[in-house]
Amino acid sequence: MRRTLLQLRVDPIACDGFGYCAELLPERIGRDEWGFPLLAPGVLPPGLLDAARRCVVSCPRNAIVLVPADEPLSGPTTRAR
Amino acid sequence: MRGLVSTQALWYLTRGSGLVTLLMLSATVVVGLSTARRAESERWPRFAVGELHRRLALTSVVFLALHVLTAVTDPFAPIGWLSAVVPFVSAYRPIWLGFGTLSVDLFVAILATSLVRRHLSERLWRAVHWLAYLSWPVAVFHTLGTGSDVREGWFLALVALCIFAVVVALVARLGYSFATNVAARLAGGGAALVLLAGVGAFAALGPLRPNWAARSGTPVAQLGASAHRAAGAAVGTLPNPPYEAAVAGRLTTTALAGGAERIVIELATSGSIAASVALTLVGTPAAGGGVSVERTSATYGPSGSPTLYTGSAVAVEGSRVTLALADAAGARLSVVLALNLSGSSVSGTLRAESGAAAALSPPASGGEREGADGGDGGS
Repeated sequence: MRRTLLQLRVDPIACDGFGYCAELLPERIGRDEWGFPLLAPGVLPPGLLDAARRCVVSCPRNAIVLVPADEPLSGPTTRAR
Repeated sequence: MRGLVSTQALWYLTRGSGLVTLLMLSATVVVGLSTARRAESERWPRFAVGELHRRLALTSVVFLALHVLTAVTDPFAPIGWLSAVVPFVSAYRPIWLGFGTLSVDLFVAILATSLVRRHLSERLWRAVHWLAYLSWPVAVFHTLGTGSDVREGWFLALVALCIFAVVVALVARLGYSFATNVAARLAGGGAALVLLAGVGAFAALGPLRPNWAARSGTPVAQLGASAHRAAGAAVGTLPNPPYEAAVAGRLTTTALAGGAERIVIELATSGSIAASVALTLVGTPAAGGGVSVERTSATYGPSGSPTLYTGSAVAVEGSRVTLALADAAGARLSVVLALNLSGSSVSGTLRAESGAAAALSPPASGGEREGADGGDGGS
């Protein structure tokens, strides 16, 4: 786990803007004017991994996932919807 | 043999944990419904609502497990492991216990899919999660249909509180962004109204009317035993013979092939002794009325262990039946039943003496011997 660098990714179709992730990880996730998450780009620092996992687990729409940083991105990651 | 305390404790634990489970699941449903509203405040962030929903659901598993485990292990009600999993197969209140089993099955499905949600499609997870709308009302019917305390004011008040809270949360949920899916919202509200009326009508016509325990399918042995529990009688033990007790129960007759009949008499004692008798007689109807008995079998035991003694009827003289019984260790017990029949209901007296039935002197009637023995009998 230590060797893999992780980043968050939001599925913009699934996201309903509950806003839990922005509350749980304000260091990396903001909200746009409609309440949808705005993710800071880049790899998560180790100190934020626990909070990031809580975002993943608590999302009511299962719309946010942790992915390896080197995985090719297929969709908008910094702006949902 | 179980003592008084442990047996009673399990039964009370079943009832208590059942009610707590309903309260917890109702809270889970209320909080789950309110997640849609996206309420937030300084002290109560949004994610806390979701987190509360999750944790309430997980915590209620503990009470649900306690409820099921104690219900199955408690010897009072004959609930087997199968009926903890498969609905509507229980000997004890099959329909209303089955509602509980059904609710548990649905809840387990909801819980399991939520725990492995990341590996499921969102559509599947949501479809299963919607079963909560079925699981919770089914749990309410189970509570009212099997709850031993249904006619207690505090019990009804707590159940009513659960229903009220869920209905309010549901109305709020249906009203939130009402403009989308109006038809579905109206249908959901209509279904909820029908269900609410159904719960009210069921409670008024079923558990709140007299004699629900018998109408809901409680075996005769438990009907008698629950009266003993209420009277604080020792459950699971019998006094040292000789003793006497009043008995009551029912008689059922089944026609067999070849003109034979099977007569089953189930009796439970009343008073300070909690015991039950099951007597099966197979015979052919005699020409002058009555039945010529060919085969018999009988069981007798305290509540919780109704087949402690097994044996057969050695004499059937009119309404007097003498049973020769023995327990697994070979200890002999003779039981004389003096019965009055009235349709399918049976009442009378039971007299138990240690030793082989053949050694009994033929008494004129059980009642006349009462004073002579001066024992611990009495009814």
